[in-house]
Amino acid sequence: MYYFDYLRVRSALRVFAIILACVTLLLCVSLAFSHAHDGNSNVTIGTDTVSADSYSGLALMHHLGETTWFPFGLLCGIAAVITIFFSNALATSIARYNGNLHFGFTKPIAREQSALRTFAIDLAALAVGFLIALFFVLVPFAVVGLLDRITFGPTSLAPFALGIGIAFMWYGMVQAVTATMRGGAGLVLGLSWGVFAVMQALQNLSSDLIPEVVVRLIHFLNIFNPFLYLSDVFATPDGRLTRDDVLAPHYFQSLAIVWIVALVALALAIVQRKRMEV
Amino acid sequence: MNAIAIDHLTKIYGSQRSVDDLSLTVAEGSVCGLLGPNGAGKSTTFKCLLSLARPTSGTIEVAGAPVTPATFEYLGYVPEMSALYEKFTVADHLEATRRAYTTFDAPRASELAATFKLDSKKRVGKLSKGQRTALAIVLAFSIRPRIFVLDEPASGLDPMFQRAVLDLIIDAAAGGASILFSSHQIGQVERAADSIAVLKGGKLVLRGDIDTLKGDEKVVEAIFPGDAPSPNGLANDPRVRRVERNGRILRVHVTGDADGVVRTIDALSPRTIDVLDLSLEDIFLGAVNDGVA
Repeated sequence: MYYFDYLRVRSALRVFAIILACVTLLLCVSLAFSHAHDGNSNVTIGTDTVSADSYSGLALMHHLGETTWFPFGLLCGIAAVITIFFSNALATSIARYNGNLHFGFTKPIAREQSALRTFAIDLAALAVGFLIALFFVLVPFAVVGLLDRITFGPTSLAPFALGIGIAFMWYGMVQAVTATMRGGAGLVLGLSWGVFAVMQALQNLSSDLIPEVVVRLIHFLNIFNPFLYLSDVFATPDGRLTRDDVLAPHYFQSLAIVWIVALVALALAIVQRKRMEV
Repeated sequence: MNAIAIDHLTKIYGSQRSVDDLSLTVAEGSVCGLLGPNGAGKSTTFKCLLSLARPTSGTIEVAGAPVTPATFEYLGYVPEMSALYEKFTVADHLEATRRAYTTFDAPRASELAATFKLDSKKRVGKLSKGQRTALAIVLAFSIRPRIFVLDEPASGLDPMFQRAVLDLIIDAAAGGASILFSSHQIGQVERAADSIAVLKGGKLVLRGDIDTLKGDEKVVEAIFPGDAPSPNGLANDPRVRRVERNGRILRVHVTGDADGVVRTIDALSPRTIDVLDLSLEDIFLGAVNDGVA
Protein backbone atom coordinates (compact mmCIF):
# COMPACT_ATOMS: atom_id res chain seq x y z
CA MET A 1 0.00 0.00 0.00
CA TYR A 2 2.17 2.76 -1.31
CA TYR A 3 -0.02 5.50 0.18
CA PHE A 4 0.90 4.29 3.67
CA ASP A 5 4.55 4.18 2.59
CA TYR A 6 4.25 7.75 1.40
CA LEU A 7 2.74 8.83 4.75
CA ARG A 8 5.43 6.94 6.64
CA VAL A 9 8.39 8.47 4.79
CA ARG A 10 6.84 11.94 4.87
CA SER A 11 6.62 11.74 8.64
CA ALA A 12 10.14 10.30 8.92
CA LEU A 13 11.60 13.03 6.69
CA ARG A 14 9.89 15.72 8.76
CA VAL A 15 11.40 14.35 11.99
CA PHE A 16 14.79 13.94 10.30
CA ALA A 17 14.76 17.57 9.08
CA ILE A 18 13.76 18.85 12.53
CA ILE A 19 16.56 16.91 14.23
CA LEU A 20 19.16 18.14 11.74
CA ALA A 21 17.88 21.71 12.03
CA CYS A 22 18.22 21.56 15.82
CA VAL A 23 21.73 20.11 15.65
CA THR A 24 22.83 22.68 13.05
CA LEU A 25 21.31 25.54 15.01
CA LEU A 26 23.08 24.35 18.15
CA LEU A 27 26.37 24.13 16.25
CA CYS A 28 26.04 27.62 14.77
CA VAL A 29 24.98 29.20 18.06
CA SER A 30 27.84 27.57 19.93
CA LEU A 31 30.28 28.83 17.28
CA ALA A 32 28.84 32.34 17.35
CA PHE A 33 28.96 32.66 21.12
CA SER A 34 32.25 30.91 21.75
CA HIS A 35 35.72 32.49 21.74
CA ALA A 36 38.67 31.23 19.80
CA HIS A 37 41.02 30.70 22.68
CA ASP A 38 41.17 27.64 24.75
CA GLY A 39 42.79 28.86 27.93
CA ASN A 40 45.44 30.80 25.95
CA SER A 41 45.30 34.53 25.38
CA ASN A 42 46.57 34.26 21.77
CA VAL A 43 45.86 31.98 18.82
CA THR A 44 47.97 31.31 15.76
CA ILE A 45 46.38 31.48 12.34
CA GLY A 46 48.78 30.68 9.58
CA THR A 47 51.88 32.74 10.34
CA ASP A 48 50.01 35.32 12.41
CA THR A 49 49.52 35.30 16.15
CA VAL A 50 46.56 37.34 17.24
CA SER A 51 44.62 38.09 20.40
CA ALA A 52 42.07 35.35 21.00
CA ASP A 53 39.57 37.74 22.55
CA SER A 54 39.16 39.51 19.25
CA TYR A 55 37.99 36.31 17.53
CA SER A 56 34.69 34.53 17.91
CA GLY A 57 34.53 30.87 17.04
CA LEU A 58 32.90 31.83 13.73
CA ALA A 59 35.68 34.23 12.82
CA LEU A 60 38.32 31.68 13.68
CA MET A 61 36.64 29.05 11.56
CA HIS A 62 36.46 31.52 8.72
CA HIS A 63 40.16 32.30 8.93
CA LEU A 64 41.10 28.65 9.18
CA GLY A 65 38.86 27.79 6.26
CA GLU A 66 40.29 30.49 4.04
CA THR A 67 43.47 28.45 3.65
CA THR A 68 41.63 25.24 2.69
CA TRP A 69 39.55 23.97 -0.22
CA PHE A 70 36.46 21.91 0.44
CA PRO A 71 35.61 19.54 -2.42
CA PHE A 72 31.87 19.20 -2.81
CA GLY A 73 32.38 15.43 -2.79
CA LEU A 74 33.54 15.65 0.81
CA LEU A 75 30.32 17.39 1.81
CA CYS A 76 28.34 14.81 -0.14
CA GLY A 77 30.18 12.12 1.78
CA ILE A 78 29.26 13.68 5.13
CA ALA A 79 25.63 13.99 4.01
CA ALA A 80 25.64 10.40 2.78
CA VAL A 81 26.86 9.08 6.13
CA ILE A 82 24.13 11.06 7.91
CA THR A 83 21.66 9.54 5.44
CA ILE A 84 22.80 6.02 6.35
CA PHE A 85 21.68 6.65 9.93
CA PHE A 86 18.42 8.00 8.58
CA SER A 87 17.89 4.94 6.41
CA ASN A 88 18.14 2.65 9.42
CA ALA A 89 15.48 4.64 11.22
CA LEU A 90 13.29 5.04 8.14
CA ALA A 91 13.20 1.59 6.71
CA THR A 92 13.50 -1.11 9.31
CA SER A 93 11.93 -3.85 7.22
CA ILE A 94 9.08 -4.56 4.90
CA ALA A 95 8.16 -7.12 7.58
CA ARG A 96 6.60 -4.22 9.48
CA TYR A 97 3.58 -4.83 7.26
CA ASN A 98 3.30 -8.51 8.05
CA GLY A 99 0.42 -7.82 10.40
CA ASN A 100 -1.46 -6.11 7.58
CA LEU A 101 -1.16 -8.75 4.87
CA HIS A 102 -4.86 -9.59 4.83
CA PHE A 103 -5.32 -5.98 3.81
CA GLY A 104 -2.25 -5.45 1.62
CA PHE A 105 -2.31 -8.76 -0.27
CA THR A 106 -5.98 -8.48 -1.24
CA LYS A 107 -5.61 -5.37 -3.35
CA PRO A 108 -5.51 -5.28 -7.15
CA ILE A 109 -1.75 -5.09 -7.29
CA ALA A 110 0.79 -7.90 -7.59
CA ARG A 111 2.79 -8.60 -4.45
CA GLU A 112 6.12 -8.05 -6.19
CA GLN A 113 4.91 -4.75 -7.58
CA SER A 114 3.74 -3.71 -4.13
CA ALA A 115 7.14 -4.60 -2.60
CA LEU A 116 8.94 -2.78 -5.41
CA ARG A 117 6.88 0.34 -4.75
CA THR A 118 7.76 0.19 -1.06
CA PHE A 119 11.46 -0.10 -1.91
CA ALA A 120 11.23 2.66 -4.51
CA ILE A 121 9.55 5.00 -2.04
CA ASP A 122 12.20 4.23 0.58
CA LEU A 123 14.94 4.85 -1.98
CA ALA A 124 13.34 8.13 -3.00
CA ALA A 125 13.05 9.08 0.66
CA LEU A 126 16.75 8.32 1.11
CA ALA A 127 17.54 10.61 -1.80
CA VAL A 128 15.41 13.38 -0.32
CA GLY A 129 16.97 12.68 3.09
CA PHE A 130 20.39 13.07 1.47
CA LEU A 131 19.42 16.47 0.03
CA ILE A 132 18.14 17.58 3.44
CA ALA A 133 21.36 16.39 5.07
CA LEU A 134 23.44 18.14 2.40
CA PHE A 135 21.55 21.37 3.00
CA PHE A 136 22.27 21.22 6.71
CA VAL A 137 25.92 20.39 6.02
CA LEU A 138 26.15 23.53 3.88
CA VAL A 139 24.48 25.79 6.45
CA PRO A 140 27.55 26.04 8.77
CA PHE A 141 29.71 26.87 5.71
CA ALA A 142 27.31 29.68 4.85
CA VAL A 143 27.23 30.93 8.45
CA VAL A 144 31.04 30.91 8.65
CA GLY A 145 31.27 32.49 5.19
CA LEU A 146 33.13 29.71 3.44
CA LEU A 147 30.72 28.80 0.64
CA ASP A 148 33.19 30.22 -1.89
CA ARG A 149 35.81 27.71 -0.72
CA ILE A 150 33.69 24.77 -1.84
CA THR A 151 34.82 23.32 -5.14
CA PHE A 152 32.92 21.23 -7.66
CA GLY A 153 34.32 18.55 -9.89
CA PRO A 154 33.06 15.98 -12.36
CA THR A 155 32.88 13.29 -9.67
CA SER A 156 31.40 15.46 -6.92
CA LEU A 157 28.24 13.40 -6.66
CA ALA A 158 30.04 10.03 -6.60
CA PRO A 159 30.13 9.96 -2.76
CA PHE A 160 26.38 10.41 -2.86
CA ALA A 161 26.02 7.35 -5.10
CA LEU A 162 28.28 5.35 -2.80
CA GLY A 163 26.69 6.64 0.42
CA ILE A 164 23.17 5.92 -0.77
CA GLY A 165 24.38 2.59 -2.15
CA ILE A 166 25.74 1.63 1.29
CA ALA A 167 22.45 2.64 2.92
CA PHE A 168 20.50 0.60 0.41
CA MET A 169 22.86 -2.36 0.63
CA TRP A 170 22.26 -2.44 4.37
CA TYR A 171 18.54 -1.95 3.87
CA GLY A 172 18.41 -4.69 1.20
CA MET A 173 20.19 -7.26 3.34
CA VAL A 174 17.86 -6.56 6.27
CA GLN A 175 14.88 -6.99 3.89
CA ALA A 176 16.24 -10.28 2.55
CA VAL A 177 16.71 -11.70 6.04
CA THR A 178 13.47 -10.43 7.55
CA ALA A 179 10.97 -10.33 4.64
CA THR A 180 8.80 -13.14 5.98
CA MET A 181 9.43 -12.71 9.70
CA ARG A 182 6.38 -12.19 11.92
CA GLY A 183 8.37 -10.04 14.33
CA GLY A 184 11.89 -9.23 15.37
CA ALA A 185 12.88 -7.37 12.21
CA GLY A 186 13.89 -4.37 14.33
CA LEU A 187 16.04 -6.69 16.44
CA VAL A 188 17.80 -7.99 13.33
CA LEU A 189 18.49 -4.41 12.23
CA GLY A 190 19.77 -3.46 15.68
CA LEU A 191 22.04 -6.51 15.87
CA SER A 192 23.34 -5.83 12.37
CA TRP A 193 25.24 -2.81 13.70
CA GLY A 194 27.13 -4.98 16.17
CA VAL A 195 27.71 -7.82 13.72
CA PHE A 196 29.03 -5.49 11.02
CA ALA A 197 31.27 -3.65 13.49
CA VAL A 198 32.76 -6.92 14.79
CA MET A 199 33.22 -8.23 11.25
CA GLN A 200 35.08 -5.09 10.27
CA ALA A 201 37.33 -5.37 13.33
CA LEU A 202 38.11 -9.00 12.44
CA GLN A 203 39.09 -7.90 8.93
CA ASN A 204 42.41 -6.64 10.30
CA LEU A 205 43.39 -9.91 11.98
CA SER A 206 46.35 -11.53 10.34
CA SER A 207 46.87 -15.21 9.57
CA ASP A 208 49.56 -15.27 12.29
CA LEU A 209 46.78 -15.19 14.87
CA ILE A 210 44.06 -17.25 13.21
CA PRO A 211 44.08 -19.89 10.46
CA GLU A 212 44.36 -18.61 6.92
CA VAL A 213 41.05 -20.19 5.95
CA VAL A 214 39.26 -18.18 8.66
CA VAL A 215 40.94 -14.98 7.50
CA ARG A 216 39.79 -15.67 3.95
CA LEU A 217 36.27 -16.43 5.17
CA ILE A 218 36.16 -13.15 7.11
CA HIS A 219 37.38 -11.25 4.06
CA PHE A 220 34.70 -12.91 1.94
CA LEU A 221 31.93 -12.18 4.44
CA ASN A 222 33.07 -8.58 4.70
CA ILE A 223 32.21 -8.09 1.05
CA PHE A 224 28.67 -7.83 2.42
CA ASN A 225 29.65 -5.50 5.28
CA PRO A 226 28.45 -1.94 4.69
CA PHE A 227 30.91 -0.59 7.28
CA LEU A 228 33.78 -1.68 5.07
CA TYR A 229 32.78 0.78 2.37
CA LEU A 230 32.03 3.74 4.65
CA SER A 231 35.61 5.01 4.62
CA ASP A 232 35.55 4.84 0.81
CA VAL A 233 32.97 7.62 0.78
CA PHE A 234 35.79 10.03 1.64
CA ALA A 235 38.61 8.21 -0.14
CA THR A 236 41.09 10.21 -2.21
CA PRO A 237 44.26 8.79 -3.79
CA ASP A 238 46.60 10.19 -1.14
CA GLY A 239 44.11 10.82 1.66
CA ARG A 240 44.42 14.60 1.31
CA LEU A 241 41.87 17.18 0.32
CA THR A 242 42.58 18.95 -2.93
CA ARG A 243 40.89 21.59 -4.95
CA ASP A 244 39.42 18.88 -7.18
CA ASP A 245 37.28 15.87 -6.42
CA VAL A 246 39.64 12.99 -7.11
CA LEU A 247 38.50 9.50 -6.22
CA ALA A 248 40.52 6.55 -5.03
CA PRO A 249 41.24 3.91 -7.72
CA HIS A 250 39.00 1.29 -6.11
CA TYR A 251 36.12 3.74 -5.69
CA PHE A 252 34.02 2.50 -8.57
CA GLN A 253 34.62 -1.12 -7.60
CA SER A 254 33.15 -0.38 -4.18
CA LEU A 255 30.31 1.52 -5.82
CA ALA A 256 29.49 -1.44 -8.05
CA ILE A 257 29.65 -3.97 -5.20
CA VAL A 258 27.33 -2.08 -2.85
CA TRP A 259 24.71 -1.51 -5.53
CA ILE A 260 24.86 -5.09 -6.83
CA VAL A 261 24.52 -6.51 -3.30
CA ALA A 262 21.65 -4.08 -2.62
CA LEU A 263 19.76 -5.05 -5.76
CA VAL A 264 20.31 -8.80 -5.36
CA ALA A 265 19.21 -8.64 -1.70
CA LEU A 266 16.08 -6.69 -2.62
CA ALA A 267 15.31 -9.18 -5.39
CA LEU A 268 15.57 -12.00 -2.80
CA ALA A 269 13.21 -10.11 -0.50
CA ILE A 270 10.71 -9.67 -3.33
CA VAL A 271 10.81 -13.39 -4.21
CA GLN A 272 10.11 -14.22 -0.56
CA ARG A 273 7.19 -11.78 -0.46
CA LYS A 274 5.75 -13.31 -3.60
CA ARG A 275 5.86 -16.81 -2.15
CA MET A 276 4.79 -15.82 1.35
CA GLU A 277 1.75 -17.42 2.97
CA VAL A 278 -0.39 -15.55 5.45
CA MET B 1 -21.39 -19.25 -14.05
CA ASN B 2 -20.39 -19.63 -10.43
CA ALA B 3 -19.04 -16.58 -8.64
CA ILE B 4 -16.87 -18.85 -6.51
CA ALA B 5 -15.91 -22.43 -7.33
CA ILE B 6 -13.78 -24.43 -4.90
CA ASP B 7 -12.94 -27.88 -6.18
CA HIS B 8 -11.43 -30.59 -3.96
CA LEU B 9 -9.49 -28.08 -1.88
CA THR B 10 -7.08 -29.52 0.66
CA LYS B 11 -4.73 -27.45 2.80
CA ILE B 12 -2.26 -29.15 5.11
CA TYR B 13 -0.11 -27.26 7.64
CA GLY B 14 2.56 -29.64 8.92
CA SER B 15 0.59 -32.67 10.06
CA GLN B 16 -2.63 -30.68 10.42
CA ARG B 17 -5.21 -31.12 7.65
CA SER B 18 -6.96 -27.76 8.02
CA VAL B 19 -9.18 -28.16 4.97
CA ASP B 20 -9.92 -31.63 3.67
CA ASP B 21 -11.18 -32.17 0.12
CA LEU B 22 -13.62 -29.29 0.20
CA SER B 23 -15.77 -28.66 -2.86
CA LEU B 24 -18.11 -25.69 -2.71
CA THR B 25 -19.70 -23.33 -5.19
CA VAL B 26 -21.43 -20.01 -4.75
CA ALA B 27 -23.70 -19.20 -7.64
CA GLU B 28 -23.75 -15.70 -9.08
CA GLY B 29 -26.14 -13.46 -7.16
CA SER B 30 -26.48 -15.85 -4.22
CA VAL B 31 -25.50 -15.61 -0.56
CA CYS B 32 -23.80 -18.56 1.09
CA GLY B 33 -23.18 -18.75 4.82
CA LEU B 34 -20.12 -20.72 5.84
CA LEU B 35 -20.60 -22.16 9.31
CA GLY B 36 -18.50 -24.26 11.58
CA PRO B 37 -17.10 -24.41 15.09
CA ASN B 38 -13.76 -22.71 15.85
CA GLY B 39 -10.95 -24.47 14.01
CA ALA B 40 -13.30 -25.98 11.44
CA GLY B 41 -11.26 -24.52 8.56
CA LYS B 42 -13.37 -21.52 7.59
CA SER B 43 -10.57 -18.95 7.76
CA THR B 44 -8.13 -21.29 6.02
CA THR B 45 -10.68 -21.76 3.25
CA PHE B 46 -10.90 -17.99 2.89
CA LYS B 47 -7.11 -17.67 2.85
CA CYS B 48 -6.82 -20.22 0.06
CA LEU B 49 -9.70 -18.62 -1.79
CA LEU B 50 -7.94 -15.24 -1.72
CA SER B 51 -4.47 -16.63 -2.54
CA LEU B 52 -3.22 -15.67 0.90
CA ALA B 53 -2.27 -19.32 1.32
CA ARG B 54 -1.39 -21.92 -1.32
CA PRO B 55 -3.69 -24.94 -1.48
CA THR B 56 -1.95 -28.26 -0.96
CA SER B 57 -4.23 -29.59 -3.67
CA GLY B 58 -7.40 -28.60 -5.46
CA THR B 59 -8.38 -25.60 -7.52
CA ILE B 60 -10.17 -22.35 -6.86
CA GLU B 61 -11.84 -20.05 -9.35
CA VAL B 62 -13.47 -16.69 -8.83
CA ALA B 63 -15.76 -15.44 -11.59
CA GLY B 64 -14.60 -18.35 -13.73
CA ALA B 65 -10.87 -17.67 -13.50
CA PRO B 66 -8.02 -18.37 -11.08
CA VAL B 67 -7.43 -15.64 -8.50
CA THR B 68 -4.97 -12.96 -9.62
CA PRO B 69 -4.40 -9.40 -8.38
CA ALA B 70 -6.95 -8.27 -10.97
CA THR B 71 -9.59 -10.37 -9.16
CA PHE B 72 -9.51 -7.88 -6.31
CA GLU B 73 -10.83 -5.14 -8.56
CA TYR B 74 -14.27 -6.68 -8.07
CA LEU B 75 -13.85 -8.70 -4.87
CA GLY B 76 -14.39 -7.11 -1.47
CA TYR B 77 -12.90 -8.84 1.55
CA VAL B 78 -13.38 -8.36 5.27
CA PRO B 79 -10.86 -10.41 7.25
CA GLU B 80 -11.64 -11.99 10.60
CA MET B 81 -8.68 -10.36 12.34
CA SER B 82 -8.03 -6.66 12.04
CA ALA B 83 -5.43 -6.21 9.31
CA LEU B 84 -5.58 -2.44 9.30
CA TYR B 85 -2.61 -0.14 9.81
CA GLU B 86 -2.67 0.91 13.46
CA LYS B 87 -0.59 4.07 13.06
CA PHE B 88 -2.81 5.54 10.38
CA THR B 89 -6.22 7.15 10.61
CA VAL B 90 -9.61 6.15 9.27
CA ALA B 91 -9.26 8.88 6.62
CA ASP B 92 -5.85 7.50 5.61
CA HIS B 93 -7.39 4.07 5.04
CA LEU B 94 -10.16 5.54 2.95
CA GLU B 95 -7.62 7.48 0.90
CA ALA B 96 -5.41 4.40 0.43
CA THR B 97 -8.45 2.45 -0.77
CA ARG B 98 -9.46 5.27 -3.11
CA ARG B 99 -6.00 5.15 -4.68
CA ALA B 100 -6.05 1.36 -5.00
CA TYR B 101 -9.47 1.01 -6.70
CA THR B 102 -10.89 2.64 -9.76
CA THR B 103 -14.36 1.67 -8.50
CA PHE B 104 -14.04 3.47 -5.16
CA ASP B 105 -17.26 5.32 -4.38
CA ALA B 106 -16.35 8.27 -2.12
CA PRO B 107 -19.92 9.38 -1.25
CA ARG B 108 -20.78 5.77 -0.42
CA ALA B 109 -17.70 5.53 1.81
CA SER B 110 -18.65 8.72 3.66
CA GLU B 111 -22.18 7.50 4.08
CA LEU B 112 -21.05 4.14 5.46
CA ALA B 113 -18.48 5.77 7.77
CA ALA B 114 -21.30 7.93 9.14
CA THR B 115 -23.55 4.87 9.56
CA PHE B 116 -20.91 3.21 11.72
CA LYS B 117 -20.07 6.51 13.45
CA LEU B 118 -16.39 6.33 12.52
CA ASP B 119 -14.27 9.39 13.33
CA SER B 120 -12.15 9.93 10.23
CA LYS B 121 -9.34 11.60 12.20
CA LYS B 122 -8.98 8.75 14.66
CA ARG B 123 -6.03 6.40 14.37
CA VAL B 124 -6.90 2.74 13.91
CA GLY B 125 -4.83 1.91 16.99
CA LYS B 126 -7.32 3.93 19.03
CA LEU B 127 -10.40 2.17 17.61
CA SER B 128 -12.25 -0.59 19.45
CA LYS B 129 -12.44 -4.10 17.95
CA GLY B 130 -15.94 -3.40 16.69
CA GLN B 131 -14.92 -0.09 15.12
CA ARG B 132 -12.06 -1.80 13.31
CA THR B 133 -14.47 -4.37 11.95
CA ALA B 134 -16.75 -1.52 10.92
CA LEU B 135 -13.91 0.22 9.10
CA ALA B 136 -13.03 -2.99 7.26
CA ILE B 137 -16.68 -3.27 6.21
CA VAL B 138 -16.76 0.36 5.05
CA LEU B 139 -13.64 -0.20 2.94
CA ALA B 140 -14.98 -3.43 1.41
CA PHE B 141 -18.41 -2.05 0.56
CA SER B 142 -17.20 1.32 -0.72
CA ILE B 143 -15.55 -0.26 -3.77
CA ARG B 144 -18.92 -1.70 -4.84
CA PRO B 145 -17.60 -5.21 -5.58
CA ARG B 146 -19.52 -7.93 -7.42
CA ILE B 147 -18.27 -10.60 -5.06
CA PHE B 148 -17.86 -10.40 -1.30
CA VAL B 149 -15.86 -12.65 0.97
CA LEU B 150 -16.66 -11.75 4.55
CA ASP B 151 -15.00 -13.54 7.45
CA GLU B 152 -17.00 -12.83 10.61
CA PRO B 153 -18.19 -9.43 9.35
CA ALA B 154 -20.12 -8.62 12.53
CA SER B 155 -17.39 -9.61 14.96
CA GLY B 156 -17.23 -7.25 17.93
CA LEU B 157 -20.09 -5.05 16.71
CA ASP B 158 -22.97 -4.05 18.96
CA PRO B 159 -26.49 -5.26 17.99
CA MET B 160 -27.33 -1.99 16.22
CA PHE B 161 -24.29 -2.19 13.94
CA GLN B 162 -24.76 -5.95 13.48
CA ARG B 163 -28.13 -5.09 12.01
CA ALA B 164 -26.46 -2.49 9.79
CA VAL B 165 -24.05 -5.14 8.49
CA LEU B 166 -26.92 -7.52 7.89
CA ASP B 167 -28.74 -4.84 5.93
CA LEU B 168 -25.62 -4.18 3.85
CA ILE B 169 -25.33 -7.88 2.99
CA ILE B 170 -29.00 -8.15 2.08
CA ASP B 171 -28.83 -4.91 0.08
CA ALA B 172 -25.73 -6.05 -1.83
CA ALA B 173 -27.36 -9.41 -2.58
CA ALA B 174 -30.48 -7.64 -3.81
CA GLY B 175 -28.22 -5.66 -6.12
CA GLY B 176 -26.91 -8.88 -7.66
CA ALA B 177 -23.71 -9.36 -5.68
CA SER B 178 -22.48 -12.84 -4.75
CA ILE B 179 -21.54 -13.28 -1.12
CA LEU B 180 -19.70 -15.93 0.84
CA PHE B 181 -19.58 -15.12 4.52
CA SER B 182 -18.86 -16.82 7.79
CA SER B 183 -20.43 -16.00 11.09
CA HIS B 184 -20.94 -17.47 14.51
CA GLN B 185 -24.22 -15.57 14.68
CA ILE B 186 -26.52 -18.12 13.14
CA GLY B 187 -29.52 -15.83 13.23
CA GLN B 188 -27.65 -13.46 10.96
CA VAL B 189 -26.81 -16.26 8.51
CA GLU B 190 -30.41 -17.45 8.58
CA ARG B 191 -31.67 -14.00 7.61
CA ALA B 192 -29.11 -13.19 4.94
CA ALA B 193 -28.09 -16.46 3.32
CA ASP B 194 -29.85 -18.54 0.66
CA SER B 195 -27.71 -21.55 1.40
CA ILE B 196 -25.22 -22.77 3.96
CA ALA B 197 -22.14 -24.91 4.06
CA VAL B 198 -21.08 -26.41 7.39
CA LEU B 199 -17.46 -27.34 8.01
CA LYS B 200 -16.21 -29.58 10.75
CA GLY B 201 -12.58 -30.64 11.11
CA GLY B 202 -11.85 -29.21 7.67
CA LYS B 203 -14.52 -31.34 6.01
CA LEU B 204 -17.79 -30.26 4.52
CA VAL B 205 -20.46 -31.98 6.61
CA LEU B 206 -23.54 -30.21 5.32
CA ARG B 207 -24.37 -28.18 2.25
CA GLY B 208 -27.70 -27.01 0.96
CA ASP B 209 -30.42 -24.49 0.51
CA ILE B 210 -31.74 -23.33 3.90
CA ASP B 211 -35.42 -23.85 3.05
CA THR B 212 -34.72 -27.33 1.70
CA LEU B 213 -32.67 -28.25 4.76
CA LYS B 214 -35.43 -27.13 7.05
CA GLY B 215 -37.98 -29.15 5.09
CA ASP B 216 -41.00 -30.07 7.21
CA GLU B 217 -38.97 -30.96 10.27
CA LYS B 218 -40.22 -29.80 13.68
CA VAL B 219 -38.69 -29.87 17.14
CA VAL B 220 -40.73 -31.00 20.10
CA GLU B 221 -39.11 -29.38 23.13
CA ALA B 222 -40.12 -30.44 26.61
CA ILE B 223 -38.83 -29.21 29.95
CA PHE B 224 -39.12 -31.48 32.98
CA PRO B 225 -39.01 -30.66 36.70
CA GLY B 226 -36.01 -32.99 37.10
CA ASP B 227 -33.66 -34.61 34.60
CA ALA B 228 -35.42 -35.37 31.32
CA PRO B 229 -36.44 -39.04 31.14
CA SER B 230 -35.48 -41.33 28.30
CA PRO B 231 -38.64 -41.62 26.19
CA ASN B 232 -39.22 -45.28 25.44
CA GLY B 233 -40.42 -46.16 21.99
CA LEU B 234 -39.42 -42.93 20.26
CA ALA B 235 -36.16 -44.33 18.92
CA ASN B 236 -38.06 -46.77 16.73
CA ASP B 237 -40.59 -44.19 15.52
CA PRO B 238 -39.89 -43.56 11.80
CA ARG B 239 -40.92 -39.88 12.20
CA VAL B 240 -38.20 -39.25 14.81
CA ARG B 241 -34.89 -38.13 13.32
CA ARG B 242 -33.01 -37.37 16.49
CA VAL B 243 -33.47 -37.25 20.26
CA GLU B 244 -31.44 -34.88 22.45
CA ARG B 245 -31.39 -34.91 26.24
CA ASN B 246 -29.67 -32.14 28.10
CA GLY B 247 -30.44 -31.92 31.83
CA ARG B 248 -34.13 -31.06 32.20
CA ILE B 249 -34.54 -30.47 28.48
CA LEU B 250 -35.69 -33.06 25.98
CA ARG B 251 -35.74 -32.24 22.27
CA VAL B 252 -37.10 -34.58 19.66
CA HIS B 253 -36.67 -33.81 15.96
CA VAL B 254 -39.69 -35.00 14.03
CA THR B 255 -40.55 -35.04 10.35
CA GLY B 256 -44.17 -34.68 9.34
CA ASP B 257 -46.93 -34.79 11.93
CA ALA B 258 -45.63 -34.27 15.49
CA ASP B 259 -48.88 -35.00 17.32
CA GLY B 260 -48.07 -38.60 18.13
CA VAL B 261 -44.67 -37.68 19.54
CA VAL B 262 -46.21 -34.85 21.58
CA ARG B 263 -48.67 -37.30 23.13
CA THR B 264 -45.86 -39.73 24.00
CA ILE B 265 -43.80 -37.04 25.68
CA ASP B 266 -46.81 -35.49 27.40
CA ALA B 267 -47.37 -38.82 29.11
CA LEU B 268 -44.01 -38.31 30.87
CA SER B 269 -45.46 -35.22 32.66
CA PRO B 270 -43.16 -32.44 31.50
CA ARG B 271 -43.45 -28.94 33.00
CA THR B 272 -43.84 -27.42 29.51
CA ILE B 273 -43.99 -28.80 25.99
CA ASP B 274 -43.71 -26.85 22.72
CA VAL B 275 -43.61 -27.69 19.05
CA LEU B 276 -41.10 -25.43 17.26
CA ASP B 277 -40.14 -24.93 13.64
CA LEU B 278 -36.67 -26.22 12.92
CA SER B 279 -34.14 -23.37 13.12
CA LEU B 280 -30.85 -23.05 11.32
CA GLU B 281 -29.20 -23.37 14.70
CA ASP B 282 -30.80 -26.83 15.07
CA ILE B 283 -29.56 -27.79 11.61
CA PHE B 284 -26.06 -26.50 12.34
CA LEU B 285 -25.81 -28.21 15.72
CA GLY B 286 -27.19 -31.41 14.25
CA ALA B 287 -24.52 -31.33 11.55
CA VAL B 288 -21.55 -30.57 13.78
CA ASN B 289 -22.64 -32.92 16.54
CA ASP B 290 -23.47 -35.84 14.28
CA GLY B 291 -21.38 -35.03 11.26
CA VAL B 292 -24.31 -36.03 9.08
CA ALA B 293 -26.71 -34.11 6.96
